[in-house]
Amino acid sequence: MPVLLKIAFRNLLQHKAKSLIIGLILMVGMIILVLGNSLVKTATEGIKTTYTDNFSGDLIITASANRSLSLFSISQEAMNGFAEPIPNVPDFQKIEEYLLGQENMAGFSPQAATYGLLSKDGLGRAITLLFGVDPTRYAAMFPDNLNLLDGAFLQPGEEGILLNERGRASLEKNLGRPLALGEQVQITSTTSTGAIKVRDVTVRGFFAFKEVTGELNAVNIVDVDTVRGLYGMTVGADAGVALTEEDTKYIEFDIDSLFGSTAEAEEIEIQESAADYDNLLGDLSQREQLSKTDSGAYHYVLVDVKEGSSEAAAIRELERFFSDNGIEARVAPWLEGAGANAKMVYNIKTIFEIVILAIAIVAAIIIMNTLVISVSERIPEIGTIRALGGTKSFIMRMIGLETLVIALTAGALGVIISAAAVLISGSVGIPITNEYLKALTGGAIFYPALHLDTILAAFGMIAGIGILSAAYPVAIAVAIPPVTAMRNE
Amino acid sequence: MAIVTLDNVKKNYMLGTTQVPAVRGVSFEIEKGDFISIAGPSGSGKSTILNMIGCMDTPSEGTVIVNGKDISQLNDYQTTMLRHETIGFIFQSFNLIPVLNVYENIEFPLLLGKAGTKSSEIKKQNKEWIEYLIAEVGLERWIHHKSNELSGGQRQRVAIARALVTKPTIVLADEPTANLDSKTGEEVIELMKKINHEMDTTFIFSTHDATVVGIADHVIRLKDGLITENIRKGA
Repeated sequence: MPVLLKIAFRNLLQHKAKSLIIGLILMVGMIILVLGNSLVKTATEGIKTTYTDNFSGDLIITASANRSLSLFSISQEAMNGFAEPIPNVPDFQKIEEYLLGQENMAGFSPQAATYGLLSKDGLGRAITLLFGVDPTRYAAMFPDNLNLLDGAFLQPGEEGILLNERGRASLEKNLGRPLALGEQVQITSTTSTGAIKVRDVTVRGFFAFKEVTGELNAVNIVDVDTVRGLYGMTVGADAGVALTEEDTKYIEFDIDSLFGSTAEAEEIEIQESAADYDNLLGDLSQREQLSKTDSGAYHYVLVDVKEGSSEAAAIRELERFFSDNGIEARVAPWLEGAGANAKMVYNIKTIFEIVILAIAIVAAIIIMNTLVISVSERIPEIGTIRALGGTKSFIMRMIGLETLVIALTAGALGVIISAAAVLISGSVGIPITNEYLKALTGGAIFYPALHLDTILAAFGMIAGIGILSAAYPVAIAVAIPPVTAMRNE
Repeated sequence: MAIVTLDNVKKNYMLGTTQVPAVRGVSFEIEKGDFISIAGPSGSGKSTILNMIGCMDTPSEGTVIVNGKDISQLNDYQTTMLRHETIGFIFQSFNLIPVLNVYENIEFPLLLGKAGTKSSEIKKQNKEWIEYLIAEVGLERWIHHKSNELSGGQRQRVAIARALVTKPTIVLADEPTANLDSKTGEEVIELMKKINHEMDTTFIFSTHDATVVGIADHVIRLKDGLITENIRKGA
């Protein structure tokens, strides 16, 4: 055994209390790292799979002017009827053509979303999130995301609603009877301009999402035209109004002139009216045309990138396409569209990483202090080694190796304990009763998984803490002059 | 031929803002194979001189030449190598590595620096050499014992063997008998003298023990940082 390793091992054994303190700190650190990272990583991977496979796809495209990319906040924006209207995805046809021509795209689902109040003959009143979908594209992109409890999925061009079991239960409770397929329910919502709209929609089926997260409990699926109608996504919504010179001459006027002389008013002669009330508004054909729902209007497009293809590359290509074609749209990864629950898991991950960093710093300081004391106790020994011909690098390696040996030993013990905990809990599952935690972990039973990269990263961090905390004591040790060996205790 | 030369060496230390002279202009030469005692009371400067000869300190003025090298001109690595290759140390407090046993302590200097990487043939020779030294200092029975299991005399014997293991030209011993009873101290000095004769190794030791001084061939007496006597017996 090399002498350095021999000295390192024997010193650690000889100074058991010191070794135990440092070892325990490192072992607990390792357990926190591996266990925490495994839980968070499993949750983040689980929630990503849950979302991308069932609700969000890999990417989301919206208009550039859109303030939020979230599927759910789009709906929340819609509920705030007086807020700025949600812009439609511009040049949808061009985007659709582009997406259809890409080999790395597995599918896409254009959607519109809004909030509404669900009722039946004035009873019920359940607040609902409405995902207005193109049935063909939605079913192709998310073929297995819901259980149809009754009825059938929407057919292309078919008006109707698929009621979430929670919405159904709420309605039936207030109705006092079961709701049947083919019955009509009413959805009350506000348009982008704040007007109240009510629509009758036929119940085509009842369903439950297979993977439920908190926000999806309130989602019902409707044909996109119904959402367009409710939100006022009409052909005229995006059309500009052309004002003539005659129209604009009143834009700039002196408001005080309205309260000028009353002499003119006194001269007004009231005449008998001979107005044609039927044609009072003139030709209404253009208005009727503009009032029709816009068949190309969507709030966002969810895109599924083929397995094995890079999402980042797909984003870059889409951005280039938008830029080249002057399309005022933007594209973002799934997380931006996934809503608060998914983001919460990622925020927890970030918080966890910050906590880990803080723990690492504290651990490094404690270890450093312990090592400084240890080096101080060994000044004559280090001085003797220097006097006998030990170079500074030998001293550096000696102290460094001792720290490394303890870091790796404690790290290995930490890995064994935490890996056993993760593997056991991963095989039996951790029951989750809290609804919010269920949303975060993606189900009622959480199965944490052990990841090699988590273990390697933890080892790297522990070794890093070891090296960092040993740096100052090593600097003290190498500065010990050989002459200290001559000082008598 | 002088193996150590001190020429008008002065050494000052700072005590706060006050400069304290420890050695105030000392010149002498030590020949190869000398068995020399640097004697004097506490504070006379003998340890300071020993430190400079051991390349662990440099003079404030003057030159210290060890094995033909001016130690003031060497960097840390060069002085380390000079110590490793030329000088063996015997300390007053023995300074054995506590976690190593007798054999390992004696072997330790061979494992430092370049000596640590050698062929199996050289390793075999080293092993035989260490075993020879252990026999020379009479510690065959204690070969696997750690320093805390040995008496003071035994520890100093280990230190002597360790000082000799690299076959140094010079062995420096700082008050080697100070922590030993007089009988053991005499035995240790006799052992050093025996090795001095057998291996022609130069022994330089500081002491204020008159009995020990009496065994030396060459005595340099110091007082207040100056040489008061430089006697070579038989000269």
